[in-house]
Amino acid sequence: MAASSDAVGAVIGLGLVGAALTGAAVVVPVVLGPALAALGGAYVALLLIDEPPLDTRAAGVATALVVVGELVGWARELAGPTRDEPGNAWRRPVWIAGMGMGALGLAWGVLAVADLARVQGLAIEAVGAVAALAALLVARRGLAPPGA
Amino acid sequence: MKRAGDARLGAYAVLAAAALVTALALRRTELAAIAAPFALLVALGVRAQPPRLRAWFELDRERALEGDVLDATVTVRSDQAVDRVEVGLALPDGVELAEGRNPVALRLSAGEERELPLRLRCVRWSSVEIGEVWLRTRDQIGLVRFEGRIDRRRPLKIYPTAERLRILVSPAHTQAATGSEVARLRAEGLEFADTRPFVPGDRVRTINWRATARRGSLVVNERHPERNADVVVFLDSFAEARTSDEGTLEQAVRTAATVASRYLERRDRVGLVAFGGILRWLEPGGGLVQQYRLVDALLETGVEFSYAWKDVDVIPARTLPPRALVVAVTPLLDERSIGALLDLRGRGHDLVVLEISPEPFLEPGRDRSDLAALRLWRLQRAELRARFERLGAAVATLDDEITMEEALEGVRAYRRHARLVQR
Repeated sequence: MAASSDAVGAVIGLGLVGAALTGAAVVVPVVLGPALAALGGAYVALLLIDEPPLDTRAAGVATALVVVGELVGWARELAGPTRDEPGNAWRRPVWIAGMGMGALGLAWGVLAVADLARVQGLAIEAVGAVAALAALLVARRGLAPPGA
Repeated sequence: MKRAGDARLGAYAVLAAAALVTALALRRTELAAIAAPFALLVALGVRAQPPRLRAWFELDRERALEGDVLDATVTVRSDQAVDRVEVGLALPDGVELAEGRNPVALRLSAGEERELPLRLRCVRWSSVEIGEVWLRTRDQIGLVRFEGRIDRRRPLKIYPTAERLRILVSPAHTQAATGSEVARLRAEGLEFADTRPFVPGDRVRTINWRATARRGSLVVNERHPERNADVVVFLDSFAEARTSDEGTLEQAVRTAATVASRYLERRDRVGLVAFGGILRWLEPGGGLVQQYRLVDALLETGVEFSYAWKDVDVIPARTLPPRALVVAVTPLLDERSIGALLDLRGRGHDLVVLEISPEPFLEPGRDRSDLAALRLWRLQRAELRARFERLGAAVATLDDEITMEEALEGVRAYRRHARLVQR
């Protein structure tokens, strides 16, 4: 029981250190690496406590880390003297959201491949999702007017 | 263009490597899944190539007065589509942005050319070069920056604005050419001087008929002719007192430009001696061309540090004509310039000292010893002014509380008094 509470304390401690370093990274960019490492370390500690066969939360963690890194970069840009042209300011948050989605898909894909090698459970779901996406694309193409 | 990695590039690379090593050590696939997006981003960032960007700079004119607003245009063109390019115009000292965005981030499509209109305010007199455009862009992901500077510099001369000045110090001696200064000698002119008995050869039109009727013999009027004068502006640039944005040299140049332009308007011949670490001089001359020459020479003036001892012997003789009025504009801070001015007066030059007070630029301490030192320093300066005045050179102190016109009025009063004493 005591060992478990120590581990939870380590997770919370690493998470707090990561959060503090992330805030500091806006001012001191060199700290971004340690900040992301601390946040990732908190997840590793959690993984060691739970010891699941395959933790699908990893995709979410990867997404969160990418989004945190990009948000820090954006915050630094906003703190600089350069201002975007009117009408262009919305592009960065959209781009960050897109990168988060991409990171989610990639991490999910890696997990699916690993799962395929292990029990084929998650991989089948991933294949099903890809098939559904392909079906949607085909249907869209079929419904599109000729010459479009 | 110079390539530089963003802080995120290093962070992502370190994170991906650490996650993969930990995944291997702990045999956890999840950490490899976390590493994958970061590894992909780093790989894409490393492969990024700089876009081909070009820039031009245009300025509506190359000469301006302090306070003028100039129209400038920065044009940027990209051969490839660029998601975000930061464009900035490096502004030299004395020029600030009045209107427009600088720097600004743009999005350019392939082959697009964009013009950025800017309005620039000339804050302080100077001779500068403007037109260095810096560009900063990044790869699609934003992990690699490409920075470059494009040199489109062109000269810009900002002339000091002349202060309002209605009166000037009259020189003790005039020259032979016609001007606006009423000479002391008697000849053909407008200003009445005196009457005297008629002598053969006098023109009939000079006869004063009223005086003749009163005296019973012919009496003629004598007049003062209007002549020009030689004026030499002596600008002391050995030392200055300054704060971060203003100093005695700025005020000295402004004062010198005002004095020179006013004397030139009266058709006097004006020369310049910039006496400092670098000696600059301009022989006396008149007209608009001379005015431009003078101001251009003044713009080049700066405080150049020098240990070399200089006296008036280094000044070319033709720059200081014998009967010229020397108007010295000085903060009276450097022994070399003070010595040179005393020497000039000793050699018989008609000298007026316009002291640019360094006091507004001082921040004296608050303890008793500092205040005592300040009082001593003020006493020393007062003694120095008295020394000049004992030699017959009027000293006018210019500071925030007194206008140039008021200061010159004091000089004129002193010189009237000094003439009475000389008689």
